[in-house]
Amino acid sequence: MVNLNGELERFKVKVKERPEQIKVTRSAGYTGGGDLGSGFAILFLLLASAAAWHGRRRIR
Amino acid sequence: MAAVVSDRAGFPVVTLLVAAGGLALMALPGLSHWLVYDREHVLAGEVWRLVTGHAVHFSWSHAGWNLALFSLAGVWLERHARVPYLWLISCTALAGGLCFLVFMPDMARYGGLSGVVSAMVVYLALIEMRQPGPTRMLWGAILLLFAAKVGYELLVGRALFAAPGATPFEVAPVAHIIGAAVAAALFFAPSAIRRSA
Repeated sequence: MVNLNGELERFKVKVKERPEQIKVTRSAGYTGGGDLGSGFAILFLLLASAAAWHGRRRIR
Repeated sequence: MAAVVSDRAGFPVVTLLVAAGGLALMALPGLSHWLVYDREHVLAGEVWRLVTGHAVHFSWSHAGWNLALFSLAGVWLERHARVPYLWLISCTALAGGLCFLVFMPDMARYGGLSGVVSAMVVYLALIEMRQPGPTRMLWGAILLLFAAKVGYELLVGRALFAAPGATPFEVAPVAHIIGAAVAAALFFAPSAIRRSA
């Protein structure tokens, strides 16, 4: 655990000082997922509900 | 495709069946194993996984939000535009699976309905924006929100509304782009064809 913490600290310093040497890549064989997320879902529900309410009011 | 949109309301049987199927797959992980998109199995001949993988989810939270959005947008679309809706979800599911297979060889597995839901949200917004009145602004805001979310995910490489490491998979924004592209194609293509004829 001491080694892990030390390595993490060294990596943090390296990322700050020489970001050009760090490249984030996806490893082969990863699992992908389709997820719109709760935030998007809630905002969509709010906006769509408002649109439906406005639409009904116009029809009346 | 927009030309065939009607105001006739019908019972949203397809939406309810797909949503019930998604929940059933969460309850029966053994069945999910046979339906999830798995590149090796697809290449070995199990081609149904290209389409069925979209109905498989990797956690209850993943399934819950996707199925809630799918149900809401699906009931709305199916009651007013059943035929275009069926084309939309079929084409998006197939196009997504094929794109993963051809262009994303590093992605070994995929699950999630959000690509299909993205297509439904974009198509629904495009339909509703044809109606006059103030609701156009609200549907326009939904389109902008969707575009901002997908753009952020492409640029930053992680989900906008999820903490890093909060999901047991890497969010694939390309699925959302495929959905939006299919929705735009099905919405605009018929009128473009009519104009050129």
